[in-house]
Amino acid sequence: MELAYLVITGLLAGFVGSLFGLGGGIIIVPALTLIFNVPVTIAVGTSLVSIVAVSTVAAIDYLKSGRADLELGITLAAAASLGAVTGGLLAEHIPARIIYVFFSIILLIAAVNMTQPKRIMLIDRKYDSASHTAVGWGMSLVAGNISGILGVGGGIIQIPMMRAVMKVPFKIATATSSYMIGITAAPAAVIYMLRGDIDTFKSAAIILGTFAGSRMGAALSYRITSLLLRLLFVLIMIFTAYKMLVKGL
Amino acid sequence: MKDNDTVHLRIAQTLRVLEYSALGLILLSLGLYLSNIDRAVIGAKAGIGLVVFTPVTGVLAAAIISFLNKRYRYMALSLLILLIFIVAVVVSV
Repeated sequence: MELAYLVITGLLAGFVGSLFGLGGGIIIVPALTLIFNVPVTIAVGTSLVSIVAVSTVAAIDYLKSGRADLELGITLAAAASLGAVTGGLLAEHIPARIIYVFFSIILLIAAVNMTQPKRIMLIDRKYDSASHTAVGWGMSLVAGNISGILGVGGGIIQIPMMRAVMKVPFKIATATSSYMIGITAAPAAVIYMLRGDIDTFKSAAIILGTFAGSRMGAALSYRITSLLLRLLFVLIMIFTAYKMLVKGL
Repeated sequence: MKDNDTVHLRIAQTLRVLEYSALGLILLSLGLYLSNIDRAVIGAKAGIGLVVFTPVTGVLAAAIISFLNKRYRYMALSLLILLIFIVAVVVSV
């Protein structure tokens, strides 16, 4: 029965992750720790594997449609994967409570940033290429680091950063983020896997759900308007911030 | 523009094959697990391993295709990601 609940968790995480380019870690880590009583390090490792699955499915659809900026994705993923590896290696030595509180603050700042009217105007403008790539590279390094420590895709930072700093429209940012978070999470997932911080069958059940959920998310993202997409994204960030803060205090 | 579309499609096709292979392995292993067969863990680990290594294959495909299209900056970045992945494996073993 537990496997069925894990598949449903994966389904939900995959759907949300693919729709918003988040990776689904914001659902998987709290679900595994709060509902299934899995230790946080194993929850993070399991989440990273699921993030790779979400990203793969979403990346296929986004690549076929040409919505993802492939070159931007590879550029940022290089920095993010470097950060994820260091994050994965450091995770054993950093108190989880500090990270949870710090991350909840980052989430709230990002959520507030997303609601600014000036930013909203950028959503559907014409897009040629991203600007301020060097700044984006540095921020991707930080996003990857957080991804490796917390088991979150990094889209939480990548998408607002791509929009606000690199002037990338929201839908291209989510598609590019979906494409690159798998590349980011994969090396960190290997570190957790080789360290034994992944529950094999819980991961398998969640991956099964994420495959289906992310396919649904990628398909539906075509039909949802940018405004609705943004509002849902803000709500997800606020909710996750609350969960992280409660866990850290 | 046509070159870009081809690159996207080829990477997507590569990822799709790997995705279905991983999904098949995971489904099989969960079936074995529910039947209380010990070897299920091997299948599950293989499936998870395939999932984790799928982006690496995607990046490798991107590197090869970009080399063929003479987009060397893009190729160098892809190779850098592969190098980071190898470092992660070496450091963890």
